[in-house]
Amino acid sequence: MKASSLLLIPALTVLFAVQSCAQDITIKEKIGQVENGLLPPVQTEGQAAYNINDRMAFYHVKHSRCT
Amino acid sequence: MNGQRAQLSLQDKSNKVLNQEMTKIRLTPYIDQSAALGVFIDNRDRTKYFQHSGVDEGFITQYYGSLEDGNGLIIMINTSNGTIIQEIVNSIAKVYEFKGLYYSKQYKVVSLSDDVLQAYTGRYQMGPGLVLTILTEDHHVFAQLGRQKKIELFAEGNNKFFSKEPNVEIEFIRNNKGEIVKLLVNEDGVHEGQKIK
Repeated sequence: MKASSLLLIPALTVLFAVQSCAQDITIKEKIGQVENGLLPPVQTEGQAAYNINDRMAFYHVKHSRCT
Repeated sequence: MNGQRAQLSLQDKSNKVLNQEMTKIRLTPYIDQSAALGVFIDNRDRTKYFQHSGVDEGFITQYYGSLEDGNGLIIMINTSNGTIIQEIVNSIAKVYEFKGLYYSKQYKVVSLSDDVLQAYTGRYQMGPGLVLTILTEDHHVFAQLGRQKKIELFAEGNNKFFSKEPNVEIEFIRNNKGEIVKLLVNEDGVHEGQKIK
């Protein structure tokens, strides 16, 4: 195996690690958007989105799970 | 058979539970245009989803799985009030761009003076022994059917009101003299009520 190929392995490992980290951030961002983007089916003009914890308190919901 | 497995089987990527042919049969409506074998098929904005809801005391669930791609969601909530479900579905559908699952009805609220609002108040006969009362309290308008809980109405124009939860639309009808003589309630069909007082 050439030296350049050996160098490629750790380089790819770093690349995958960076990609994985970036995906985690994207997923976390999306989860945050979902948690802060609740909108009722009946909306008035300029309706602001709700936070899920606020809505759960409003509806007296103890637990929820979304997958 | 979980939703993801059904999606994979439908794409012939997994035969662990059912093969593609059986999954297609399972996800094909046979009673009417919606009811398939154990699931309902919804056509939302030209995207088909298999879906089912579940309710038990203090627990509500809803899932959707796309027949065309791998999109899907499952919501499980410890409550008996399912109103929050569509709010969560809307949020997920918007963030992940699930076609057809986002549902909203938009209204523009207008402000009407107390004098104008007062004209709509009264009792309306919706059926034998069934009266809908329109009343105002602190510049707000409410509708109360019989002894049920009153719901707040919002004006979207002269003579037209709506409620948010449940979503009901009410239109007041005037005679030639401009007097309100009846109303039309739009909720699962249009119901007419003559003003009696």
